[in-house]
Amino acid sequence: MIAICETLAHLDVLVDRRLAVRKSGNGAERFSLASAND
Amino acid sequence: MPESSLRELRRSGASELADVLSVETAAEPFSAASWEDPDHWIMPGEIGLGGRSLVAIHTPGHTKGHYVFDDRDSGLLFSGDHILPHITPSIGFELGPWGMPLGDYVDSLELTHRQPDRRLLPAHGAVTGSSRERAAELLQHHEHRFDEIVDELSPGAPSTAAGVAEKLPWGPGADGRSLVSTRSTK
Repeated sequence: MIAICETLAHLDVLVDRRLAVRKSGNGAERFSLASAND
Repeated sequence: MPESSLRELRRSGASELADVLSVETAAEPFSAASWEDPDHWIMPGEIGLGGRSLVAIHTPGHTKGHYVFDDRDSGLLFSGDHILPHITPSIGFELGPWGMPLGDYVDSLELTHRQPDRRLLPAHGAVTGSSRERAAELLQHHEHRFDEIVDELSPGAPSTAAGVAEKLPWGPGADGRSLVSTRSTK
């Protein structure tokens, strides 16, 4: 569980830095390296 | 475990793990009434302790309300769980809602790195020589992890946070076990 929480914490920062983009899909959050405006 | 934490796990794509924890939580309900309020809330700034003076510095990250205490006269930093000599404190594991814990932690590390260097007195591990040097190491560590995660987020391969975690060398899938079977050890 800690690894998941830490990964999510890192992903939130990457989204904030516009290095990853969060998308909705299949009932869960998904991530990609697409354009921050995607 | 609060419902907000279970929502975070489901947001991460770890619904199976959330379901298991939800059942365990129902078996051991949490009651806030079991806890007393603090006698006194600490605010940033100087604290007099008899003949000694400490400066309280708010360093959210490991927890929302984490503080370190700077003993300027002795050149010591009581760093609690903010800066540890051999391990990194857990981040994003605090119960209840929180905006961006790792972002706060990185900001707190940068704050520590800007402060005068101190001998480090951590909550876990031995006394070490340099608060600024260790803060720099921890910042570098997390930048390395950011890079590792970015490498997993290849275009066309979207995944959940749980899915990303399973791919990472430090994640729950590193040794081939499932998320649920590793919930208490990772």
